[in-house]
Amino acid sequence: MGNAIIEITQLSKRYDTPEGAYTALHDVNLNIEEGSIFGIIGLSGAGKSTLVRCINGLEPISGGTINVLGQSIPDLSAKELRQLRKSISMVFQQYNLMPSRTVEGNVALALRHSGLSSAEKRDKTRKLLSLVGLEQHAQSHPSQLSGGQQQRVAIARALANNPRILLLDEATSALDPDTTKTILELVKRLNRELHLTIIVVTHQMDVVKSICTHVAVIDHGTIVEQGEAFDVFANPQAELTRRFVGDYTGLSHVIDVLRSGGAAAGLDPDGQLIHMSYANKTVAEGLVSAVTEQFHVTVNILFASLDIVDGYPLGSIVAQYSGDPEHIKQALDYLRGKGIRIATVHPESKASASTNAAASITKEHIA
Amino acid sequence: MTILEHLFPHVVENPDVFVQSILETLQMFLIATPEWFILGIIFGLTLAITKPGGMWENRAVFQFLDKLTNLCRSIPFVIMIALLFPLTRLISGTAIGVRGAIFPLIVGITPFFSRQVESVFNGLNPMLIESAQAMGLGPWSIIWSVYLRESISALARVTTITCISFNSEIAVIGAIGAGGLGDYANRYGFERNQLDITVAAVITLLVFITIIQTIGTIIGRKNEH
Repeated sequence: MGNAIIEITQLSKRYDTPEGAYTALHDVNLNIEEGSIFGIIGLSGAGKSTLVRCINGLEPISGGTINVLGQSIPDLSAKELRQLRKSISMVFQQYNLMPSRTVEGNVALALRHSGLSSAEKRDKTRKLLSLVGLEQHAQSHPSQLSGGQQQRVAIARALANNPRILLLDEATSALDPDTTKTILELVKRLNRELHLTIIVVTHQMDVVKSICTHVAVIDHGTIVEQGEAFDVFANPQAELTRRFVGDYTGLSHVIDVLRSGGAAAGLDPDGQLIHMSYANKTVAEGLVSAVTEQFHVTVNILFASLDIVDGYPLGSIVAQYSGDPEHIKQALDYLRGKGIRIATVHPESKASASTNAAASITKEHIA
Repeated sequence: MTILEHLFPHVVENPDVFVQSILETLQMFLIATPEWFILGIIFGLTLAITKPGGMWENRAVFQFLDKLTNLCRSIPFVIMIALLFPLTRLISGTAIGVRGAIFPLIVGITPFFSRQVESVFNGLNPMLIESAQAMGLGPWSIIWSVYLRESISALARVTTITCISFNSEIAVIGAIGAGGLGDYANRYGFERNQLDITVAAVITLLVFITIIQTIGTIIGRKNEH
């Protein structure tokens, strides 16, 4: 991969409020590589928006270092910071288009001070609008457009100064699922075609899953887990990450059902609940029937799902194993040897799987 | 002609005085308005951007302007005229007539208009300013392209309201020595008990205000999106 385009070390951010100091970010360390789509996910109030606002200097930091495109943000003068912001564009949840300007005027506003002639500006504005598929709406006002269209205008505006980094601050959170999908497709295309580095702040796991190459999970102002999106999805370590992944894949729902009445679901009270995660669907399904025969255990599949994370398939099966405990142990060891991540499910704990002795699954397991 | 003579006998009897007083009112309005308009925009904008949390937060400037505005607004206009008397004479060379009225008129209306302008700018979505900052626009660009440009409609509305208040200030200062329709209605209508003169002054002011209101509404509507 490319070089780190954003380097953050031990970043902290405190606010002084009348009720005392409030720590919004604490000991944040991040390296974001050029060309990646980096997701920052967390619950509301976790500090994820504050973090991106530190990247373009909208929020002054309280400690640590933050380097963007080789420049140390806290050391820049106001003028240098404005210059750098032309290379770091931002798209907001509420679009923030200027209501009194037309779509064209909104995009052209970003080109103020660009040194282009008005004919060149018009030309560039048209090109940007056709890039986001809105050339026919150039003369409309933002209030005449739908949310998705307004967000496309905001993206066109953000691209006006040929940025190298695009910050999306909950950019799809106000949109319906279908519109979200089209915006995410656009973002992915921009990443591919313009080689833009994109930072996506979101609370929606779906967004991370469909476009991000990397992800950082932020909780109470600290990054609790980060890595390649696939790895984090496949082997969630932190409690919050497991909750996000579990909620997303439906695993949490299964556990809720089990908790509310395992016996009613027709389960063998002596059986073991096992969560198997794997990177290759066909292999895993074949193995389940293989262990049934080879080790004489009964595998009762309660739940199965398959996801595509960052373009790679990721499967998940929750099953009840019954039979001789020694046989079950052998069966599980065998599965581990085949690259399947095995975790015991305790219905009492919402965070689901215990991770001890769980082998990590990586993209290499994909045949 | 006969109807006019019948309805407004005293006005028709001496039409020059009526015309003269209309001209004086217009003069006061037209000379002072551009000045309080510009001053009010400057002060209102300064209040809005230097307030705590504003784009150019500056406690000293904000507190000074804020208190000054409150002080000026708490003095009734009639008292303000008397208070400014020596200063007016120093600045305008006279404290009477249209010339002597301009300075106290501006001082009287500017704090009112500044507050209105301030509330317009404070009502602007702060996210618009933030997104302009994120775009790399400098403070002057933001003032011009966001604060002023996005507030045209609301500024038209508060300017209309202020113009109407300003009209009553003109009448007050007119009645105490500056001339104009206020003086006309007071001296002829009230003191000589010629009711038709008061009615004529009221109708003229009504026409005047209607024109201002219409212009304000048109500008406001044209810039509303």
